Amino acid sequence: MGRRNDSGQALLLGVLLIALILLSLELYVYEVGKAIGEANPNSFSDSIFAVRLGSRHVVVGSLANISQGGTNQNLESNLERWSSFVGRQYQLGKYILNFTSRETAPYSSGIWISWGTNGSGVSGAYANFALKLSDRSIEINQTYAINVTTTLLIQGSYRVIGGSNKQVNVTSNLLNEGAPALAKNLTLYYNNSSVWIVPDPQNNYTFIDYGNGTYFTSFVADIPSENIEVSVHVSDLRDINVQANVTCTET
Amino acid sequence: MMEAFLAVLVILSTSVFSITLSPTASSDDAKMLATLGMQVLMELDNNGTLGKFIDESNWTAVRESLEILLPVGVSYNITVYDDEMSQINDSTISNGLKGQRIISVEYLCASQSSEVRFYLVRLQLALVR
Repeated sequence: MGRRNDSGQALLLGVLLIALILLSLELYVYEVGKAIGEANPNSFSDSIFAVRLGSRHVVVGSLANISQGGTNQNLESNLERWSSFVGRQYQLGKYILNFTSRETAPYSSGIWISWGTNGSGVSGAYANFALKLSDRSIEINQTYAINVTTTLLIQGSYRVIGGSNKQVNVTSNLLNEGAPALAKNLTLYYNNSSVWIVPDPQNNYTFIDYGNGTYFTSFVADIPSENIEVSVHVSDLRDINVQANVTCTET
Repeated sequence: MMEAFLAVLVILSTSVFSITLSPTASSDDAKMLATLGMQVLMELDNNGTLGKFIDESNWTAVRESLEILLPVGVSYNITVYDDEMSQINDSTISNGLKGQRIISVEYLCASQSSEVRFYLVRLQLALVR
């Protein structure tokens, strides 16, 4: 009888031991499963995309600053701050973000500002990036380039309507990265005896926004010179400024 | 006889507990929420809107945008830190975060303004059952 009780207790102890081992294993698998769930491939790709998007915003913001009078070095200094900020994050692993600003002509320190007198103006910025994301199990390297360009193209013509009174028509086209873009502000100036003047309603000023990045302006002014110069200053929706000048042709 | 019955009971209880402990369902929800959170933030930041709202401390606009972009049945709480990791949102941006499992995603945001500021946006999400 005593031997039967002993074997029954041993069976019970054995079963309890097995149950404990099973539960421990289950808990381990559960914890590992949770960890894997929190670092899935989508998280890595989303995270990399977010850093790329941030890099683009830094380039846009820097170009806006430089086109408003900041120095060209602002691009590199902002990118260094961004690179350092990204490098301090460890959400999915360690990030290392390196960049080089373009030095090939017409860029200098990654910036190309050309506000010409031939009817074309460009404000541009270009930087190359190398992003490395690594943790214990994965290493991702990605290179990408960010090119931000705001271009303004203008065409001007005039006709004499009596004496030195002239009607001047100017058509402006704004482009972001080569595609039509909307302007936040557009100001037209004309040169009269070396003074740049903004036409007002007394000049029969007309402004038409075609809604596709094309703007038409027209005004009448008493301008003795036959060389009628106009200058268009535009700020796009990203606050990047660009200017272009042109000498109007007589029609 | 009694010991055998107890042994079977222990084995059965362990099996039932193991099944309920399965991580599959909650792990799938967590993945889905994490992906949703990142995509919502990227959508809002795509043209610089998120950074603009933060620059302007327009927390109402952040809240309204999230409530448009997040599906019904998802509760959230968002906290915004500057580049020194100091919390800058002085009001709660949340629809009352509640749920059995709360996940957190962190998003690095650079504002497009000419000052170019950097923010860490922490979005916590949970499924409301």
